This record gives sequence, structure tokens and C-alpha cells, in this order.
Amino acid sequence: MSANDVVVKVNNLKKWFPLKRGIKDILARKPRKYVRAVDGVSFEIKKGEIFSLAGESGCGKTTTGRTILRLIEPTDGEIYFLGKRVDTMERDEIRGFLRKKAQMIFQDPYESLSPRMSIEDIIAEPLEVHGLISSKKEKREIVSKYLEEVGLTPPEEFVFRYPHELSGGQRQRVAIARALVLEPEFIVADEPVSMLDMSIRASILNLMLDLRDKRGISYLFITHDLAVAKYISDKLAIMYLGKIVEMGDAVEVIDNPLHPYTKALIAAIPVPDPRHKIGEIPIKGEVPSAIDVPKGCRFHPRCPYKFEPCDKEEPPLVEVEPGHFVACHLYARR
Amino acid sequence: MRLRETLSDFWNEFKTKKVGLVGVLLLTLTVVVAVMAPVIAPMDLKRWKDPTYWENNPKSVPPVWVPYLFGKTPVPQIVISDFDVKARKLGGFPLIVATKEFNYTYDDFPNQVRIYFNLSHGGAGAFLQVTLYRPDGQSVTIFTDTIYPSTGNETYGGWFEKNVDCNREKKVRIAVATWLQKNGLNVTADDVIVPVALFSDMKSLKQGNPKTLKGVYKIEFKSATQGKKLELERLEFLMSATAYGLLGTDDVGRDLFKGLVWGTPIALMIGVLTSVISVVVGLFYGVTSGYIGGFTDEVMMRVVDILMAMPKLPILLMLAIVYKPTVFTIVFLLAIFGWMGISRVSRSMALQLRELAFVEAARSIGASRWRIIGVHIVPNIVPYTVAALALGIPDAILTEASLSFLGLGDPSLPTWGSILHDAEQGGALGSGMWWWFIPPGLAIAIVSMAFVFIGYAIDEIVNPRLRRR
Repeated sequence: MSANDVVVKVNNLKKWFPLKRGIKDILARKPRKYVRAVDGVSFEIKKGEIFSLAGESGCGKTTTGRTILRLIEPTDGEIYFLGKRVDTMERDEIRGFLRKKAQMIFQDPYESLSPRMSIEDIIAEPLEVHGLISSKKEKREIVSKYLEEVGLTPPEEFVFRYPHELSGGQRQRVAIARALVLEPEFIVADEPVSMLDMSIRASILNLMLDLRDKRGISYLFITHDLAVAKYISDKLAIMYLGKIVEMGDAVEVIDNPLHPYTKALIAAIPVPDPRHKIGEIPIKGEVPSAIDVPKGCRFHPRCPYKFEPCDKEEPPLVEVEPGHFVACHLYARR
Repeated sequence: MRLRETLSDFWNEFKTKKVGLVGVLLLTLTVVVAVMAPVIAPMDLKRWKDPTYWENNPKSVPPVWVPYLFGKTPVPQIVISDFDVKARKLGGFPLIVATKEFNYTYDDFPNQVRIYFNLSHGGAGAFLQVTLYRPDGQSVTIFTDTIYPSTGNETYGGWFEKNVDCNREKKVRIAVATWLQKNGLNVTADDVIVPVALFSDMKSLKQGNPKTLKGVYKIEFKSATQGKKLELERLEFLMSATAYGLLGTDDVGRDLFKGLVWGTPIALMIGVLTSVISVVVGLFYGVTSGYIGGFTDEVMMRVVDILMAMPKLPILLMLAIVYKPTVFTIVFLLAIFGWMGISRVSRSMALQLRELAFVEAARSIGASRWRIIGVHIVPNIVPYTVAALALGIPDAILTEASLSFLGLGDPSLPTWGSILHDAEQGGALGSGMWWWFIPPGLAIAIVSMAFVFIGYAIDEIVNPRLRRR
């Protein structure tokens, strides 16, 4: 696979949010504290690939997605998009390049559509922002085309409607249409189905898969639901406290988890069978705060397999099996 | 949400608020008055402050309906102009005698007596004399005057025009006082009340309880010249009413009803304009500050704090003294001090809105800062500012009225505040001229109340937390 196939490459990305200091802290010259939302993440996404980031809430997966799109300014690290370096890009270039070629789909379709705009205006907004439509007729044609593409037919029934008149699934389809209208190469989908009913999830996921097949769009798919991740993704990375702890082919990671945290997550997936009881989850306690990250392996306070180097040394992400990376001393030793 | 739906929902809810409906009723009333002003109170608005425009009106008289409350018939405005004019020659020189008889049957004395004449004397000068013949056989020479020959320099020389206010004119007062003294009354020119003296029964006047002398009077105007030509262009004898209009007059004879009616559109204009400017400026300022955030936000909000800490009225007073203001400068000044509250509220709402996904979605498609503010944030805040808009109007009206009351408003227009100012200056309170200060005061209260009621009702709808259970 040539390097040209890489759509997004992220290298040691960090996003630290500074905490507000009180006057007392400033006078006492206490060092500024940071929330280390993303703390050194590296991965790459190839053309037409669906790359999932999974993990508990607060692990930094959403921040990673937003930072790649420069909706949040990165603290450190490198982001390449279609071979261009994005993290240092000026605002004008971001508008002309990144904002056209990369789009985002949000978690809550009730919140991500402006309540005072009609469906037509919402879908056409990206075109208007970039000055790509010249007439009302053209606008209607393009909007209709994309409404059909996302399965909202007949389009004339939807163009004049307002978001509050649509169901959650329909709204998410509108959000997808808005993301498609600029013909992007890459879409960050931030938990696009977590707010939807189970019955609708599959159809939205299938729509996204179809679009990938037809248009070769790459996705960064952010989810906390491993079942969804397994269903949709080619690659899967598990994040914990701002770091990737395990990464590889989605099926491989889920069927053959290596990291203790991944194992625990998979054990916690509910199975729709009343006779099945979720066994005791081997990890204890809560996720530590991202302000005071534990020394060494950040998972060690909760890890059942913790041994000597875990609270001192941070384990590197190593390739344990071909294409299967784990950051854990249990495997680094071998 | 679609606008029409939102509005009809809003109206359905508004209908349930009694206070709001009272407000709407009062507002409708004032708007009708404001719109109908040129019809119900025709006047030359520019000449409101011009005393000559009102000089034929009775001064400081109550409304016409007041005497009826006490069982009296008010004296109407009597203007005698169809004189019987005779031109003669006296020793070769022209002489004019104009006479007219009239019947005076009222229980009350006229408010004032005026003589207006325009005499064409060809530049040679003239002598003139006005005499009132009373039913009791007495006659009073009210006014005599000598017109000196023109120097010949003036182009339009040769005629002489005068409007004699008999209540004030020194010559008249002296003449009337002299006549009264001859009749054995102890009065001086300073304290004679001309209309009372002229039209009273002598006996009752001596008893100090003047009653009118009813009967046929005759007014005579005589003029002679040493030149060749003498013509009377116009002659009027005016006895002004003891009551006038729906709301009486002030001390220069202005019709207070007209002032009150014309004050309505002016007050509404000042209130609405000020409030709209304040709200629009505050909205955009606050949203910009809140959306951009960071250091810009900090600076912009400190500016608001500083402006808020400034005492509004003293500064306005100072500015109004330095720059003689017009209505529009007053609106401008009021707006400068009126937008900060709204800007704070809209800033805090912008802080909430900018975290919402649809704003981030707009950023992710590359929408500019100004587009996001204008298209995505402001429209979502506008409904909440409507109440502030309504509540800002009475505030502006009241502040403008206080400025005008202090004599620092627009000096040319009949604002309610300026009528109150004139009333205060004219001692209306001391002399019991309630028709001068009560109506404008009530008008200010009613219009303010209308907007306050509407504002509260809207506030309850858009901020459901305020709802009373």
C-alpha cells in the first residue's frame, strides 16, 4: 500500500486543556494544571477505511476527532490530511481546504441541526458558505440529489420541513447529507448512532457503509459501543485516558483482545439473553482524573495483572502480532 | 421553527395573560391617538413654542367642560370683525370711524380683551382712539395711540399694524384705572384687571364682588391723519373665552389638548427608537463578545461594566446642557446608556449557544465567525430580547420626560415632559391649573404602563421559569 493511500495521519497528537488558576494559585506560583484529554495519540487512516476510536466517556476520543478537524487547536503533535500538514495551517487555508474536504457528523441529531433553518437551508449551507451555488434552482437540485442519496425520499417532501418535524433517524440522515454535500474525502462521525433507537441504528450504519463503498470516503468513527465498532469498522483503536492502549483490525481486537482494559470492556458488553449473566468485571474503581494522570501505565491502578514495572514505566505501543498493537508490559516483556 | 407557527403559538399563549391584554389595549389606544394626531389636533407642529401662534387663544383657562360641572356657561371666544366703517373728511383731512354694537349676556368675564388693527396711513402718520360704550351710559377710552410719520426710507412704509393685549398693555391699564378712579374706585394701573373692569356692573365692582353688566355694548375705533390717505385694512375686537378646548390652555394660550395628542407620537417614537437601537446594539455586542470569547470577551465586558457604572442622568444632563439637543440626539444619548443590560444577557446566551452542536457543525463546514453569529446565534436569542425591547420603551420615555421636565429636552417639540416643565415654570400647581400637569403626567404613566404590562407578559412566555403558578 503506497503512502498516497493514507488520508489522515496523526503523530503523537496531544490536547491539553489548561485549568483556570485562581489568584491565590498564581501568587503561590503553583504550576498551571492541565486536563490531558489527548496525550500522545498516533494512527493513520487509509482511503476508504473506517477507523474506530472506542473507549469510555472522557477518554479523549471525541477530542481527538475534533482536534484532527481543527475545531479544537492541538497542543502538540502532527496531523496530516491528504499529505498536507494541518496542525499548523492558517485559518484561510483551513477554510479553503480542510473545511471542504473533511466533514463531521455529530452525536445528537436533535442538537446538531439549527432549529430555525429548513432542511433545504441546512443541507445547502456548506455550499453557500463556500460560494458554490449560484441559483435557487441549482440549490434545490443539489439538495434533492443528496436527500435521495441519504434515503429521504421523495425529497420535495423534506426540503421545506424543519428539524423538529423529523424523527431522530431522519435528522441524522439530514446531518449526513450536509456532510456529503461538499464531496468530502474524510468524515469524522462522533457517535452518530448512540442517540438513536436500536431499530434505526443499523440503517444509519448501513448508509454510512454504502457511502464508503460508493464514494470511497474514509471515516473516523468515534463510539463507546464495541458492538457497533465491530460491525462497522475496519480498524479499531481502544483509548484509555488520552492514549491508545490497543489498536488493530476490528475483528481481531474484539475477538482476540490482548490489553486487560480491552478484555474488561468486551466482558461488559451486554448480551440480549436473559440467561446470560455478565460475569464479574475484572477491573475495579473509576477512571482516574485526566488532570492527575497515574504514573507509569495509566491503567495500572485498576489493572488485575499489575506487576513490578507498571507503576513506574509507561508501556510503549508495540506490534505484538502483525497489525495488532498493544501498550501493555505483559506483552512488551516477550 | 417556522415563523408563522411560532407567532400563532405565541399569540395563543399571550391571550391567556390578562396583564398583557390590558397592555395591548392601552397600547392600541395610544397608537390610534398617535396616528390620528394630525386629524384630531391639527396644528403647525413647528410653531408649538411660538407664542404669536397662540396669541388669540385665552390664557390659562380650564377645559370647556369644566364650567358646566359647576353649572356655569363658559364665555365663548367672541371675535368682532364686521365693523361698520365710515370714512369722512374733517377739515380736509381723512377721518375713519368704525363702530359695532354687540350684546354681552354672560355671567362671566372674558379671559382677555384684544384689539387688532392694520391701518394704512400713507406714511403721514395718524392718531387713533378706541372707545367702549357701556350699557350703563359710561364710556371708556381704552386705547389711544399716535403713529409718527414714516421717514420715507422704508419700502413698505405707510401702514401700521398692532395687536393690543389689553390685559397687559400699559396704556390700556392706565386708561382703565383712571376711569375707575373717576368712578370712585381706589385702584392703580398695576392691579387693574382690564376685562373685569370693562364688563362689570359698577356697583358690584365697588362692593368687591364684580358681576357682569349685561346689555348692548358698542366698540368704536376712530382714526385721523394729517396726510391724504387713511384706510382701515383690518380691525378686530376680541374677547377671549373663559374655557377652551378639551383640556384648556396654558399661560401662553397653547391648546393643551393639541400638545397632549402630539406628545403621543413623539413619546412613542422616542421610546421605540431608543429601545430598538439599544436592543440591536446590545444583542450584537453581547453575542460577539460571548462567541469570540477569551481576551476580546474580557475587554468588551469591562467596557460594559464601565458604562454601567456611569451615572446615566447626570451625564445626560451635562451633555444636554452643552449640546442643545434635538429629539434624535436625545434618542442617541439614551441608546448609548441603554444597551448594556441586553448585551450581558445575550452574551451569556451566546456562551451557551456556542457550545451547541449546530454551532460547531457550522464551524466544521467552514462558516465564518460573522455568519455563525448572524445566522446561527442571533436568531436564537431574538425571541428573548423581545421582552427587553418592550420594557426598554417606558424606560426611554421616562428618561426623556425627566430631561424635558428639567428643561433639557428638544426645545421645539410638544413633549409631555416639556409641558410638565412649562407647568412647573408657570406655577400651575400653585394656581390650581390641574389641566396643565395632570393629563401629560397621566399620559406618561399610561404609555409606560402599556409597555411594562406587555413586557411582563412576554417575559413570562419566553422565560417560563418566571411563570406564576
